[in-house]
Amino acid sequence: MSLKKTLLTYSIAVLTAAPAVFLAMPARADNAGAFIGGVVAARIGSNMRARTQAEQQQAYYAQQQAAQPVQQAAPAQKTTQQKLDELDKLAAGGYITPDEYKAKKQQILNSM
Amino acid sequence: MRIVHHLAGAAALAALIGAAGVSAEDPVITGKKDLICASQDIMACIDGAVCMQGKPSTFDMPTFMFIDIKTKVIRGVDEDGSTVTSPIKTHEVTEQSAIMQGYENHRGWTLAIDKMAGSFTLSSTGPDVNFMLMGACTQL
Repeated sequence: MSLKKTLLTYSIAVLTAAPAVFLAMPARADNAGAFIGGVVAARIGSNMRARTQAEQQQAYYAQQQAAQPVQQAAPAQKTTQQKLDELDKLAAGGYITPDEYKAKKQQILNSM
Repeated sequence: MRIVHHLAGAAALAALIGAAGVSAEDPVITGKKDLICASQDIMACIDGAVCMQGKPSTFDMPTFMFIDIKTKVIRGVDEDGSTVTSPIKTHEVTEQSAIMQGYENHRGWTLAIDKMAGSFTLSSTGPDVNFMLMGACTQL
């Protein structure tokens, strides 16, 4: 019974309050802005554009972040053994003199 | 904002009471009396590529619209309190629906309200954004 009363009160409220809001408007608002083709369309359009841009930016940043580890993956540091092997090959091929070979070999060994 | 929420709740309840108070044969909407309609869901597509769905609040747009049958105009209230209107160019009442059409700002729209249930869909077509509103109306 009390629920019915509450619902009835709400019903009366909406049927009196809501029309009052709208009936307070001028009956003929010739100079009013456009509603469906104006405010509504503009709000929907601008919100969608903003969201689309935000999503595109997010996707761009995600792509950038995903690409970063690949860019950072620099060639691994050569081991002393590898450096000495390369040096041997250079000397064997005659690309460096025996003095240069000795100096470079010492430098590699010193850096250990 | 609180008023809007109260009105939304009250409108839903009023619709339920109204529906319960009339017999199955009586239409909720006659198409001859003023109406207040609340949008509940919106589906919109932009540039023919991206579509989104949401509530009126998702798109920052007014929830309510008032249909003034006598002056053939649909009215809403913008967030700054100003009145915004759309003229109704055609208004037809069929056995099942009340159908209204109009255009403005290079955009056309069609509103169809189910006379028995009060539910409505409004579709609007423009060169960039197309959207559809779905909700319910009650007669004043």
